[in-house]
Amino acid sequence: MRGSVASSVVLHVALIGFGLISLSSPRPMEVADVEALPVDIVPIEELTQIQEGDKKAPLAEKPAPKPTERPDANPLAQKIGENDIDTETPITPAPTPKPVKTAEATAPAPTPTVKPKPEVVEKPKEEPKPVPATEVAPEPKPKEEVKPEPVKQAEPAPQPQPKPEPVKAEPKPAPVKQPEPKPAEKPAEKVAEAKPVEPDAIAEQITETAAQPAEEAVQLPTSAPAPEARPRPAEAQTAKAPDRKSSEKPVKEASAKPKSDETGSIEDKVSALLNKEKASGGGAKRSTQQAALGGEKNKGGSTLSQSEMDALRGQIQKCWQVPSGAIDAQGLRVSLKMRLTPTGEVEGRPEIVEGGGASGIERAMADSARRAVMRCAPYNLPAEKYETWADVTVNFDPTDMF
Amino acid sequence: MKNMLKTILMSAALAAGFAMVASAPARAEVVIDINKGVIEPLPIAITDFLGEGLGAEISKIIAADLKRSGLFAPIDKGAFIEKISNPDAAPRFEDWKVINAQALVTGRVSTEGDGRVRAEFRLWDTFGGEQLIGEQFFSNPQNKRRVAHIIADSIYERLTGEKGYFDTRVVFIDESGSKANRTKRLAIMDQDGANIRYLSNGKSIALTPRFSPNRQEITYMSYESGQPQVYLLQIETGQRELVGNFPGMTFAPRFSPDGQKVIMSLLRDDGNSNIFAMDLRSRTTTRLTNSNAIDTSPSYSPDGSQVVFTSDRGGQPQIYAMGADGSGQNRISFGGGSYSTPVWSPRGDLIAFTKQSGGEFQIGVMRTDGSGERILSTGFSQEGPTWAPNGRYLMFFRDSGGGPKLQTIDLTGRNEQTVPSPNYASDPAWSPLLE
Repeated sequence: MRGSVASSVVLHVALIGFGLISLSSPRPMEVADVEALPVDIVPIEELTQIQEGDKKAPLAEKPAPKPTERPDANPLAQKIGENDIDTETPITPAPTPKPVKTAEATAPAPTPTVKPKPEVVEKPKEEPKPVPATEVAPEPKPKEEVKPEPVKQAEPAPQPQPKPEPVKAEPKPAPVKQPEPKPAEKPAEKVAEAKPVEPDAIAEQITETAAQPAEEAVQLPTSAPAPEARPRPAEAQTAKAPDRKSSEKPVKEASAKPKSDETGSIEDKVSALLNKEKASGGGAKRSTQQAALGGEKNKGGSTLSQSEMDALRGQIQKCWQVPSGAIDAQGLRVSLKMRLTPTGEVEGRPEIVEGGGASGIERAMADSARRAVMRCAPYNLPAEKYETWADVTVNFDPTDMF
Repeated sequence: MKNMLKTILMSAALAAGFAMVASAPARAEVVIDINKGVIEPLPIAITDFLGEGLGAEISKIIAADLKRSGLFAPIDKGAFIEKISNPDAAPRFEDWKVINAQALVTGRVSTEGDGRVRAEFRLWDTFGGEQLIGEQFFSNPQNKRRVAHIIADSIYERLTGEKGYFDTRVVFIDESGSKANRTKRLAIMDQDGANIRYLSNGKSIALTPRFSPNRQEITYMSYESGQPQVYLLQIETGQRELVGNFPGMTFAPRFSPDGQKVIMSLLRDDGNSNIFAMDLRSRTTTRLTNSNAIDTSPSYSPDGSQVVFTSDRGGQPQIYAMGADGSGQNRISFGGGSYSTPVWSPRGDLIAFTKQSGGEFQIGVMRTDGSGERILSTGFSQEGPTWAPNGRYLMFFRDSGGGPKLQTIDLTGRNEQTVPSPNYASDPAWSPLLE
């Protein structure tokens, strides 16, 4: 018995002691410091109400439609179309990069005959034709994808220039030009150009070897040219970048080569796209000119917002001293029309349009209403919406007050 | 057939469309509905009238009248910018707008060749920039206060839309002397406490005086003959007469709206009282109630078709209404406590009463059907409401220790004021507007 009591006492004391020590007073509530956010209240009408054009607005000096005509510079794109025609013959010289693959298919005589002399360039031209060939086509494309990008980069700058130029130089001068810039221009350019020349040579060898095995070789050349092809565009890119800055001729080479890599039609499409972009660059999209008959004033679309109406109502309510005779009168209502000046002053004398009898409470009501609106002036209303609040009708009805 | 219907429908739709387009407003117009306003005293500038000291006195009376109504706030003369030198010319409204005077009173008092006083005044709307009233009055010099009251009434009516009540008088019981030996005299004064005049000598107790609605005549109860009886008194002549000759005590008299009848209570020996009406011309009496309870304090409605009174036939004194011929008696008050002295408003819309409950006396109003009961004032001891002729104010008497004093209060329950009187005063009765 005693033992249990003792243990009970000990345990209770222990428990209470534990509680006293470990259970502290509750934490004080922490109130986070919240920074006040500045809030601007903007009536939604300012955003939703669109300015209307005004038929009487004076003609703007620079009408918007003119810039939109410029894209018609598409004639440039048409010129590209001419390129197609022109390139048909020179196509053979251009398509150097992919000769590896399609040496067999491109066997056709015209290309070799025409430009055997102009160095390496000739053979790659023959190769592009194989691209259309069956299996090879898909594989090189991914590789080409890498290429076209640089091509695009290179082309945009030259576009305007190369187009006309190729027409002139496509047949023979093109290769002629290549050698010229190399020696004349900066070393970087030379390096760039020199490299493409070398791979070309390798490509030639490969193509030669591949040409004999015919279709079987197709796979080999794909794998082989792939590394070759990659470096080329990379080189071309590096070369092109400086080209743009330095001179036109190397650019021409670069552009000419990639063109030859792909088929002429894709090339044209790309350049056409680029042309369009360029033309549209200065077109209507950019134009920030005001429309010719742009609105000068806000019209019906801009009514007073609810908050502005409330403000006006509050202002008048504060000024309206209800005649005590209105307490019991039923259906007592005075409607008053006033014209405001742009500064919010009441112009002339407010006109009682409803209510306001000749005697008694009706007359007192009319007087009090007129006094209220006169006393409240000037009204603080948005000046830009003056047209909408130039005329204000105020209905006074004290029925709900009592 | 279907096609025809279709074309008809189409054309109807088109017509509706055109109508909508045509009816569209050519220009946006802002329409604002004001359903609230402020109820506060109207700032009004009352300039001293021109003319030999009398002018200043009259404008002072006008200002006091308007201020006591609670609806106007006369502006301190020290704030005036423009000094009116010619009351016939338009004032410089800008000067008055600056001090926020919404109305301006100018005037002139002069003495005519025949000794009469001529008073003219103009009320201007400063913000509207126009004259609202221009009037002139002639009177003998003794009536200068009345002239001032009439001008105040005119201003009050024009600006509030209600009839004024300043040119009125109050008949009441003047109480003087110690509490143990109180002298109660019938007295009359202007509603503002001026011009007090005694109508009885105080040798006998007079109670419950009531004004005739259209004559300078008073009915009241007096112990003159030993027992309380109802008398008639011509104010101007002092002529007195007993109303009826009943075998008992009559009290709580009141005139009918046309002044042709007096309605009162007759207490019989059995302790019950009933209501009787007496035609003053034919001296015929009509019994209106016949109950075994105390029916008293009758009061006619303004159109004379109904009578409201108190009765304890239900146990507690409550308010009842009935036809002027005693028909259709029904109870209209159902509140706790006991009701007494119901008085029908001159406007006919309300009934004022005294209510006693919880050891307190309350002055209140209710609609004529008993609804909308509203207590305006509560006090230790107060009773006997009487209406101002415009039905906007009540006067009653309150004893807050020592003796009773007259009080006025408006229907909102605000603006409670004590009417100045030289002695204690009780049992007021407000006169109609003087002719």
